[in-house]
Amino acid sequence: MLQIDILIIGSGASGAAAAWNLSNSGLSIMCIEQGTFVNSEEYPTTKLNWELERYNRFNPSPNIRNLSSDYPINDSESPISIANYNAVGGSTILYSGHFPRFHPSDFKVNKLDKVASDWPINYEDLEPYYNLNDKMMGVSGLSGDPAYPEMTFEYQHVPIGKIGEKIAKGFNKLGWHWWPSYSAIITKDRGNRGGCINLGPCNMGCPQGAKSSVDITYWPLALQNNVILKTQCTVKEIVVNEFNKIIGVNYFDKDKQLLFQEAKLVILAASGVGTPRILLNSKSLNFPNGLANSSGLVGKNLMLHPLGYVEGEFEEDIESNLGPHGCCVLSQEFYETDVNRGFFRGYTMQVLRTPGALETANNLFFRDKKFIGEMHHHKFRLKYGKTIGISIIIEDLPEETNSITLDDNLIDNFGIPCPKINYKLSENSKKILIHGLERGKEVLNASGANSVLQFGPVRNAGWHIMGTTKMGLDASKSVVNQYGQTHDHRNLFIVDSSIFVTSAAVNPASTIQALSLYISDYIKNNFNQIIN
Amino acid sequence: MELTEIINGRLKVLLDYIIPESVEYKMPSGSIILKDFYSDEKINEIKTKILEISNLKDQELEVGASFVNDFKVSDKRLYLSMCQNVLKLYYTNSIIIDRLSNFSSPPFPRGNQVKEMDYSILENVFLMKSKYRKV
Repeated sequence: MLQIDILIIGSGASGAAAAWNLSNSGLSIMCIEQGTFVNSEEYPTTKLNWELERYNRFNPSPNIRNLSSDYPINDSESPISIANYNAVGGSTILYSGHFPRFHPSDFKVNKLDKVASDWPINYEDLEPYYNLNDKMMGVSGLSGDPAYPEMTFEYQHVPIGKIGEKIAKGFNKLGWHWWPSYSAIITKDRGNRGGCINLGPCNMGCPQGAKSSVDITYWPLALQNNVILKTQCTVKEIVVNEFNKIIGVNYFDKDKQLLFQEAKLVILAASGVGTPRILLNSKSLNFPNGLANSSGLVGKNLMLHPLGYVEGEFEEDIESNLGPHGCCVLSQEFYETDVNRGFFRGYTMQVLRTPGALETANNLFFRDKKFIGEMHHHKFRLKYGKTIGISIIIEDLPEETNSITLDDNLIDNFGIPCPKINYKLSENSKKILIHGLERGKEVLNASGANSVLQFGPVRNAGWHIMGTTKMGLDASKSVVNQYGQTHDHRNLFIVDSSIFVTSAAVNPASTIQALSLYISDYIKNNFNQIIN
Repeated sequence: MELTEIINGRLKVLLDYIIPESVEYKMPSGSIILKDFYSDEKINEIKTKILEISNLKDQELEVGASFVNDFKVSDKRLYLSMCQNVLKLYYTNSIIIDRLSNFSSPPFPRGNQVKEMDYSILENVFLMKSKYRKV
């Protein structure tokens, strides 16, 4: 068996950032990943019938994909189903690359609004890591946004196009905030990555290499620095000795053999659903409720970002099918709390470009009975390239009753119990959603839309899985401390979105990675002290 | 007339009903995917249903709205599933994609030009006072 200092579980957004950051520390690093590298030549978008693969191999639901790297998730009782991707690079393979940061207020919601808890760290603590992460990933944007503290970008923002200008005029008419999207997409060539050429479906993998997924950003550098990456390996449990010290993990390798890997320190980076699953499955005589769970909070406080969707149809061709699907413009007019609105916290409006032909047709099929039959082509042409979508990303506050538990009747290929999602929208979330849908409609009307439809929460949109091993200073009210170190086991750390105290109202990838860099810096600087 | 010919003819009627031809938009009808549709996982169920509701004594291929309606009514679930699969095959068919594309579509031979931004539309926002809360 290889002697390893640090073992990282999961190679996605957070695991990759930690692996790279620790790779120049002189410590030996291994990462265990249940999936494999996805060859970009195999991305659906290298084929003419690319949209078909959204229904199987590249479907965001692990229950539909059902690949050998996936484990099923029981989300049948949740209004929002879980979306993810299990491979080297994790969900960054399929994310849209929308990359805004948290706001300073997001870390202090209790101090400001008397809701939930404050993070034990603040925006300023993470700011250097946000900057470092932007540089490592390749992020584009425009400085000067009044909704944020000052930020600078290496790459010019992605072009907003005719669609962006159309909706911008609506925002301007109402006097509301908007700004070109912050995107993990490079807009000019960088090494062997091509700059964005406005192809469209970033969320099916980017064969151009313009979208900053971690398989092409952090991983090549980490591997160059001798990090060992073991793919097609599934962790069964984390192993602890009689002194509460983590000694390694039991895992199944690609030949389905159960092996033990010793490590001086273990980092969990398996996502907001995978991390609590592993901890809850790591039961022993001394830890009948799983590891790091003396607070009873592992799996609790699940936050999912319920999404609202508003879509406007326009008379003229606004070329809404050109350019990165999820990155156009955003509005944070209603981001911060205004008690006059009747709820706490707020939301981001993320403007979306039109999906491909098949998705457009499918959406019409479910929404319009007359789409089948003689009006078919007319109705299709009214939509294709002529719609603007707005995703309403609301801040979901933590509730202990929203949780991930184990479903003993649902097991994966190795017989390991799988997660069950127990989730309901809170009253506050419902109010924010309604407000967001109405304001979305208002801005589309102000932009000149002929007709507007709206609905929410969107079912297949549980990409942002947060809060299930909450960070905090009080060991009885949280799972990890301000450095991602579990209160119960000093050599067990968590770096993924499980540790979020609150969810903010933006896509979490940028903050996940900034946190991972911040925590791995702490580990790097204090390794000997931690393990002794 | 062979049984397969009858089924083929009636399947064509169904596909052309789901997606008719459009002269205005220069789009072919749904039966352009007839050959591909035979690999549909529910094809045997569909064939059985076609036979069940067809008047086999009358072996004319000329069936129309009443046949489609009978098919729909006899098994709505099967009909809806068939519609979805027709859309899937039609909108990923190379001829259809080619007709729809006045821009680059996957597998992306060249990329797209997107209009550069006129920054004057951002002026009002740029001049807004700071919108984020200080802690």
